[in-house]
Amino acid sequence: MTLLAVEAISRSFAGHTVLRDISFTVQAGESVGIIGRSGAGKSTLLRCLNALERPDTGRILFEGQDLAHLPEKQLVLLRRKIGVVFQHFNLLSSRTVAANIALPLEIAGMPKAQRQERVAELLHLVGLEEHARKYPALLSGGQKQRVGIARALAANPALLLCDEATSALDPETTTSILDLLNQINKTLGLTLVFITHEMDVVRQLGHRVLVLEQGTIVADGPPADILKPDNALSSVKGAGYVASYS
Amino acid sequence: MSRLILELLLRATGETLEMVLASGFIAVLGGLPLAVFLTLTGPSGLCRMPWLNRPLGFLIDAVRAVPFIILLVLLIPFTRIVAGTSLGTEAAIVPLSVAAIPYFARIAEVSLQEVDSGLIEAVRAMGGTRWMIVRYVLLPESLPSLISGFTVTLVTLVGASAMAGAIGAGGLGDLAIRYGYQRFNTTVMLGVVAVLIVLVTGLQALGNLLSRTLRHDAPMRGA
Ligand SMILES: Nc1ncnc2c1ncn2[C@@H]1O[C@H](COP(=O)(O)OP(=O)(O)OP(=O)(O)O)[C@@H](O)[C@H]1O
Ligand SMILES: [Mg+2]
Repeated sequence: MTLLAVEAISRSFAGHTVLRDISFTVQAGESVGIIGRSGAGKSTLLRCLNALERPDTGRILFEGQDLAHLPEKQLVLLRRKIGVVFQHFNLLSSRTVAANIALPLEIAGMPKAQRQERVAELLHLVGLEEHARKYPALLSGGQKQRVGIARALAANPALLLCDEATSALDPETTTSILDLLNQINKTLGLTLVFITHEMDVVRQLGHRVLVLEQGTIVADGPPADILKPDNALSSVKGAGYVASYS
Repeated sequence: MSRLILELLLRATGETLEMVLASGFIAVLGGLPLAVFLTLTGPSGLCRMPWLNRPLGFLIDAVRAVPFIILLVLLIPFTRIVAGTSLGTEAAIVPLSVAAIPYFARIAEVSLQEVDSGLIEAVRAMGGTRWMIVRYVLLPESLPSLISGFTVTLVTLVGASAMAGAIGAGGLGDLAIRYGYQRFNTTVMLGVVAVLIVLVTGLQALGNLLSRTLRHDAPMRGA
């Protein structure tokens, strides 16, 4: 079943074209990686997928609704079905771990008792039960990202978007976060679209990878094919790979 | 120090506190919504409205540009309408508030603008409305900084209220002028200065403590 269909979207900022005629579909349960150089338009594309950014042309069909043309009022409601995990976590410093995870539920208007139950479930899922009442400032990067993931999952989204979710973490922590995301994708069947600069992340997490270059998709296929060393495109990805460590 | 002088000081301190706290309260009531509005409609805000933001910003700065002692005199007719009289402690609350609202609005605006834009993006991505972003992000995240700004406002009001004393508002300024300046009573003058110092340092210490207690964005020092 197709969960998301991107049909020929373009986006430019002040005459500078950032996304050019992009089309692809994402099946329910699939895990799709997006790679490409810095400035290729990856984040802009992801922001279009959860309607924080509107494409100038084209359509984005999510559960049968067109994100590109829906009025803002309906977009607000639709965003509640799409979770986002950020590179820099973006946790509210004024709220405890539990209260951060509860925020999407508060926004959705869930009653308090139900909310507490759901937050307990999520704390268990990400293994942070004993940190529930702490403030994010006291957590390590990996723990903060676990909170970020729990928060993104709170409202039972149909789609999870990750913009360089592991870029701020050390290799070991990255592995544990990837395991968690893999588990979420496999056991919960949650559809995943993620951006990364690390080829290991693509190999471990992606069923499929899109390579973005100057706003266009130049390759789309399984990681094993795309990331082959003798692939004509490997230089492009090599550059991205090196950039992430420089 | 005679008993009379102590009583005078005590009453004057009470009047000063009344002026400062009442106009401080009104400054938050009026200034905070203005600050939120300025932030939302500003150049990097969530609902940019330059045609409203700029004139409002101009009006706020225009009021701030007028020296308080002149504002005091200019506002006498307005004060009469609002308070029924232009004399006394209650009447002085009117010009003090008029000066404090734009003052606090600008200070609070800075606090609100310092909130990490990533947090706003996160709550927008969760499907939060603009009102939810104000309620869940802007206000709670800037609260410690808002309290620091409010403390600065209160301290400024202590000084301004002493000036209001010059036109018969009562309070410590009034006392210092009537006894200290006009009758050369040095004891009263020094007493007033001492009370003002205690008042200002006390307010500042209280503000710092409250702000620090509510700040959770950095690991606790010494913990
Ligand atoms: N709101 C905006 N206004 C103007 N230009 C923008 C805006 N958002 C993105 N851009 C531009 O679009 C281009 C692509 O940005 P984007 O953030 O999508 O790149 P990216 O592929 O995510 O890069 P990185 O790997 O560094 O995160 C950049 O040149 C950027 O300056
Ligand atoms: Mg990016």
